[in-house]
Amino acid sequence: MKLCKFPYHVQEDILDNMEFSEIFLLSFVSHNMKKTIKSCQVTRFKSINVIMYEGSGGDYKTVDVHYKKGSRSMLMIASHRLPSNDYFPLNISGKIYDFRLCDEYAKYGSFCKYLPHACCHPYEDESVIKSIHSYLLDFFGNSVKYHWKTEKDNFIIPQLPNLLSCSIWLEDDSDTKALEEYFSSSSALKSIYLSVDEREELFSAESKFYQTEAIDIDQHHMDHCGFLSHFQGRQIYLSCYTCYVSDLITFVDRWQSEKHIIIWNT
Amino acid sequence: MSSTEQGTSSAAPAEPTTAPESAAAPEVPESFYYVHGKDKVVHKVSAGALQHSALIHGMISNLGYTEEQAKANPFPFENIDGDILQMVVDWCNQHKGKPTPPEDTNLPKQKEKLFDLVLAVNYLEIKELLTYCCKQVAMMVKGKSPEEIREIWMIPTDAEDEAAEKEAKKRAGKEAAGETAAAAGDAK
Repeated sequence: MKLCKFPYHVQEDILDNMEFSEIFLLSFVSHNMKKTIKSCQVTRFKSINVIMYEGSGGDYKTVDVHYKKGSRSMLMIASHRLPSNDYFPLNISGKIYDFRLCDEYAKYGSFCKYLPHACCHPYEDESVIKSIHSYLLDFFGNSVKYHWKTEKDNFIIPQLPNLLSCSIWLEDDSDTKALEEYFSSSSALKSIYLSVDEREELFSAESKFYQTEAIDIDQHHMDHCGFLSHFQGRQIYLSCYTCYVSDLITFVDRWQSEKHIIIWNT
Repeated sequence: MSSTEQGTSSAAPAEPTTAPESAAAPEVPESFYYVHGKDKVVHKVSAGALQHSALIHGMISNLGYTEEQAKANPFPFENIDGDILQMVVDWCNQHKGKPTPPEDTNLPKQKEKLFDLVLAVNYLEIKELLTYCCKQVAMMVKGKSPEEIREIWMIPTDAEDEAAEKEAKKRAGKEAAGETAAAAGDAK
């Protein structure tokens, strides 16, 4: 069966019936195939709202595509290698990485039974993400937004172009040094969601975290924290159960002369 | 012309009516048309079943053939293999006047047959069947690596594409040179 012998609209119909993970794999078959996908799937790619990297602890990350009608996992990145002969090499942005097709997510009701799984050593973690990100930028185009979601102790966020937002879940004992380093070395993000336990100062007063355009803080008890006194962005959304009224008054006073959006949800 | 009317046996009976007898419109006898593929085997198909094919429906809608005329003038589809046309006719008969289900599991599993079916269905413009076929083609590469996908769908490698492109350029150059020489010859 020669796919290229089918009329264009039939090829388009076939590709429309494939999952993002399958389209991703198909793009490695040849340069011409990649070009065909890009031209056939313009509408589908335009429907992508955000591509999300999610590292929810453990030694793997997922790359999910969120589009108008829902979301689908596209691939996984694992910092370990299983004893398996099923690996196949893929050239991702000039670097060769081993992949396998993983069906263990089917039992969790995943829409995609077989998910491509990039396997790397823990020290390669950041470089594989950068390579994959570079590939995705070329494949989906520059208009797609990227989001980084991280929790537990996995706070290393690589420097990625088009990464506009991130969600961070901090625990009591979470070490925020890596986060502080990330903020200081990267350009300010468009938005950050931060869920944090009771802590006084998370970041230094000069931290670029406070320059983020929009921040969304979820904290049970806000106790003289720096968010209100250091924030320099445009929009802050605070969710908490208790806080000091004096903090609020100081904050509102500081912002009174500026046209910022203040949403206070208690 | 050889003729088989296997299709007639599967032609659906007249639609039952639920309207009261007094209000029922007089039953119009169903008209039939005839098609044949590469193997010249003629299939008798009802106009109702043929409605699935936008191409044939467009051809017959204004013909107003009598039964005899239709029989004498089967539509020739020389580009479609006989067994593939049989599959198409069967599908049209099975789904005559019925809403199409979300999935069709009776499509051929062999990739060459499916490939021919896709081309035939696309040519005959049977939208629903084409959708099923495309789903089936997409299913073929589930859980496959890029190399396996290449084998299944016979996708040329980059080197093969480059060689084909070079060959096409060479051929085009030769043709252009031939045309120039012919034009020069004509001028003389």
